[in-house]
Amino acid sequence: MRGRHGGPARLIAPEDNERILSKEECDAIAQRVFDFAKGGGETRVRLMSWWNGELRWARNRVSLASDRRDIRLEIWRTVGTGRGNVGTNQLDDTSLEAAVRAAERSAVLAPMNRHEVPGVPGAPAAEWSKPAIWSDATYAVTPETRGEVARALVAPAEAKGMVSAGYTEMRAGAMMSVSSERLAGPYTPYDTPYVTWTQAQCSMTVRDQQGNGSGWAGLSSYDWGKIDAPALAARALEKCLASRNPVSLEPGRYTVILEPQAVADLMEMMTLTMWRERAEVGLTPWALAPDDVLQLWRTKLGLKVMDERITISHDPADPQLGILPEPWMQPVTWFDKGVLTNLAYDREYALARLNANAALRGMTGYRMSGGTTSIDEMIATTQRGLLVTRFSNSRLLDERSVLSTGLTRDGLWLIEHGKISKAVKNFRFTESPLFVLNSLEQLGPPVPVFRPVKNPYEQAAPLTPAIVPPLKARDFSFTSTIDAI
Amino acid sequence: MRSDVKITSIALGSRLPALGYGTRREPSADGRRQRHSAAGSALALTLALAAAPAAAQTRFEWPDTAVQVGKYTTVDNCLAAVSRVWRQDKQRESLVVWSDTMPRNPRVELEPLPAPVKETAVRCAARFAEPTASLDDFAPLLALYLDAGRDSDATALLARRLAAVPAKRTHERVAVGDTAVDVYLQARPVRLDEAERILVERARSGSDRVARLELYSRLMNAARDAGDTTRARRAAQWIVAVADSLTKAERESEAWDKLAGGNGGKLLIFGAMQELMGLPMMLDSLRQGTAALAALERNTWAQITGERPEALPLPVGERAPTITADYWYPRDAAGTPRPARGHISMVLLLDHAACLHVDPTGYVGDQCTSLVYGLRRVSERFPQLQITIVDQTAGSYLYLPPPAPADEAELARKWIDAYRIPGAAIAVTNTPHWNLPNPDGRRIDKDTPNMTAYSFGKSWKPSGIFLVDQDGLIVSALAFDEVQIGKFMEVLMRRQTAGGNRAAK
Repeated sequence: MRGRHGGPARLIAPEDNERILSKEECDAIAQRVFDFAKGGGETRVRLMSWWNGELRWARNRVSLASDRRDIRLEIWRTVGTGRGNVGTNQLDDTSLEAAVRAAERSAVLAPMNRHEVPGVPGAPAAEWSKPAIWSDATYAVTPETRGEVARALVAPAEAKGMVSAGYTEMRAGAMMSVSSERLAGPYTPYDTPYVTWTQAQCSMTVRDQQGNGSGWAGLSSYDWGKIDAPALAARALEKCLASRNPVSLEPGRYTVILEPQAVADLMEMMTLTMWRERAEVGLTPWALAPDDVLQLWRTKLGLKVMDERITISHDPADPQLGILPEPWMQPVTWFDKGVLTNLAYDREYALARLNANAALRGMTGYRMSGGTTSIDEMIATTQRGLLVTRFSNSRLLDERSVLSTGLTRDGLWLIEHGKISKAVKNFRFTESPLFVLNSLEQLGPPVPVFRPVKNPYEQAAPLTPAIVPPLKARDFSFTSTIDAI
Repeated sequence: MRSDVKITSIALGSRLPALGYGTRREPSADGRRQRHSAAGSALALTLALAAAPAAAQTRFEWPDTAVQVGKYTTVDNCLAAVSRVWRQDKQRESLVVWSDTMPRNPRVELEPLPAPVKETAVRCAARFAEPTASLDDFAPLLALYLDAGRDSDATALLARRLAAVPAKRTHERVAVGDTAVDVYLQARPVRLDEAERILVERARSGSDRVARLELYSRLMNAARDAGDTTRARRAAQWIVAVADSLTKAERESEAWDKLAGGNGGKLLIFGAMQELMGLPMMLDSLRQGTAALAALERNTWAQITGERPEALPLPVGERAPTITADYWYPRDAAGTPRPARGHISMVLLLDHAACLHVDPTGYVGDQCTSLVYGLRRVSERFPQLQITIVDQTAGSYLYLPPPAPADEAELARKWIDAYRIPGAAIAVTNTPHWNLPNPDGRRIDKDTPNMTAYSFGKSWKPSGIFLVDQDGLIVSALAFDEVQIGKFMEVLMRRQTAGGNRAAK
């Protein structure tokens, strides 16, 4: 039997209007896998089903338009003392049985722990909340709609003689991870109940024909309805036109106004450090000092570490900050009025070090508090400074201080006497977000920003959204000029 | 005897290595030199199936695992192929031989490679001729030559590599020598002669005498692990000779403090002295009485350190404190003080939280099996031995929600009971603890009364096994060494038959 595109047919073939597997379909596939298992022992199934519709353009012409969907099934078999696993996307009976047999053969060759620990009850049931990261508006976007959107985005730039490149992308996914011992629940911390999500992205760069100016705008959200694509196009074009013919400026320390996207780009490095275990071995800025008496590292939990206007938190009930669910998910505040109040840890840490039951997730999907000052007002109150659109190619130089480096891109302007005076050639920055958050002058209202999927090859990865304010800070360090626009 | 292990286990307070054969270097079912793991294989298989869309459209077929050395054109590839063959061999063996339930065989280091492994190495290494092979592949090629049994080529390769080092670049020469020693000591069979030759040459040509101690110590440990007691004693003699000539400045140097894995030069030299004394001398002393053994050890310590004998960081000769517990299994064990006078006893300070672990997918593992199986064998061999396994609560047990102390003790009891150690009593103590102020909140354990008592006022954290004579005096406090415990037990049994310490005197 062959499928629509010449490949092997799935037993369950999603209809065109059913781009991802339903819970019933996932349950049915899992049950078939469990039925094929021989020799006893636990079988685990992880099912990921996704749809990805995208349209990309460059030099004002469409370069790629696709509408893809796929399924990935991973099977773990425990046979005796061994564990084996196999992945496949073929769901007919013959292939499923072959995959289960392969996992069992692999299990026989991979004895892991032949000594059982007696008397241990099964893993406990976990509280799983249902995430609010689904949008019918995103799921309903068709290839034709994406084409129309792209045409509308390209047209203004083309009309001005500019060159635009960008993409719109919509995704939807479903995931489920269950054991043969609890297909119908209750689910443990090691399972994932059936979950679905959507995500949408729009990113656009406009350049002039001579390569003297570049402007960018982008936004991502679970809901395509919250992305105003024409406004993004207009913004990218406006920035391009305003950034042409930049002048060189000496590197050094400048007062900067960071647009929200630049703030999120800079904060990205800090989110990676927000783990207890790293701090407790002295590796991150959240380590305070070794305690020779207790023979451990004290952390800065409870200490003021940044400007008191900063609060960074996550509420799982906020769909704009939706991330994949985790067991025992609760609202969390990492920084409260500048005080470090939480660092992330996994459940093993929680049990062993805190005698607590639940993990505390890392700083993904966060909201940063802001103020009421608009970017225009920030500019008007700046004698000399720089307005930064965004950063790119950022990387961590020193985890202990979160010292990072990267490049300004797609729009950098000099501010003199309360007004934007000229476009400036891009800089390399060498700065820590911690220093910036301790050198704040003004904050604007927080807004959602563009947060791309971290690994574009991982189709099942949802966004890690952020809502951050624009800000004005002193003494931001630019260390060299670069030629890229 | 494994004297340095004994010291390290006490001085470091390192729980796990001290309890079992955690530092065993022999290749295991997990793969040679730990380069690959079974889990890694499973992952690789998954990736292989998942990575290429075209492959994902092909119905699964079990991969051909036969080694075709013609496909491997680089030294790294050849070495990886040899490792795979060895790993497969060990995996097949592990299906029928549970080596972690068996006593350690030190001679395993001297056994040749399994024939299929050596054959793979011979065929794959045939394309790399000495002296034309590239020196860029020095380290892996040296290992491959040894796997293939081409020791003369290995020697020539090392000589060629050293000749390529400019005369003034001493550090590079030292690094090459260290690399070669590592390869020789990891080879199967272990090449002690070659390693010794390099180490001695380095030691005699170097001016840093403290560094020389470290080199000799490496040789002593490797020889002892391989069961080559003559060589181990020779290295121990060198250590003592060098130590005797050290200046005060050298003994107060930072390098001195870093010796023996950070435990300091004193412990390194004490280990060498114990190696020189050997187990027979210790047994002779023990036959005279536990006090005689304690005097031997303390005087040795005083002799090499200049400190008073009581400063010996081992509680040999001390009276074993009575174990206290909140939960006793069997319950009637609470009625009799342990260790009991008139009985030869063994106290095992165990930490189930260190023995049991759960991985992020929820699978549970037990890392103390070799220790507990060893204990069972000792118990079966000496039924008169009174064993007390001392555990303490940690506030957590694997993946379970934090249990009440009584529930945790019961879970620990079920786990230990599963090993069916005849006559063993289990004593579990509620660990007194406090928490750092919120928002940190970390649990800070205080020492249990048993831990405090068994540290004897010293700063080290006690762990491992305490063997106690019938008069309640500690005979040894050491990592679990089945051979040594067996020898000590034989002496103690004879002494008990003869009427104890007083009769021995």
